[in-house]
Amino acid sequence: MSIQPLCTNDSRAVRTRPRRRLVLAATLTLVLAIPGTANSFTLDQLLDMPIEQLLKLEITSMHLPQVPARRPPSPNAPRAAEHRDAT
Amino acid sequence: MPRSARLPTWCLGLALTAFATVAVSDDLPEYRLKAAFLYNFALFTEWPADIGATLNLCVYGRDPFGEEIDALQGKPVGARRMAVHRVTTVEGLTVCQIVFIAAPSADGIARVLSTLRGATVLTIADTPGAVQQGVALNMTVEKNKITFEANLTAARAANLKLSSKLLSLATEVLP
Repeated sequence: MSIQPLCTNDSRAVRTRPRRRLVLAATLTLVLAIPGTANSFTLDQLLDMPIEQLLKLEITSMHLPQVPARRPPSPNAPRAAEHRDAT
Repeated sequence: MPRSARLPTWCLGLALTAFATVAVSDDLPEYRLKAAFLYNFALFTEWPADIGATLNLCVYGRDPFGEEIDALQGKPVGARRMAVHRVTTVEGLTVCQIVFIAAPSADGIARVLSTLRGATVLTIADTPGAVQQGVALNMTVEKNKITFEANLTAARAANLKLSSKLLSLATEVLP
């Protein structure tokens, strides 16, 4: 019986331990990530939801309206601005 | 483990962390959700029989939806199918059964309503004060959630009936 194979196995075990840890970490990361993707809805998915559920969903990114070119002020302009401020 | 061998391990770890960060982040843009509401508004409206087999949804003014709203193309609304149009002139609104007046065109609400007076058109906006101006349904964002208000007089004037379920979910219903 030779000692050589045992030594080889031991050194292989030492070498594969960090790799195993990495695989475990990667699997854990993926498992944690998968439920997160369920929060990202496509429009098709939203269309299948009841309206009560849509009312509960939170927007993650607000649309920034593009400011139109400057125009001469209209008579209702101050009133519209007041409404915007109110919200 | 030799130091040189650790580098790929770290890189892989960083890549996985980056992937996880992207994957767990929610993604629900404002106008994707608003497009879903538009579809629901159409579903919860009683349409007269004589309007034909197509419900033309027109986005008036600068289109805030982008390609998102094209997913509504051909969607069933009862026995009808939805068709999406982008309209930039009030004259072009005559073919529409649903008109969404985009926020940048909000100063044009009065013009749109005057053009559509008496027509069977469900008017929808997302501008504060729009229902008071005579728009049938108006969406607002409160604490990152969509809410909506309804104007029954405006709906009735357009020969449309909004379902009681829809009205029960509105934050405000103008009689």
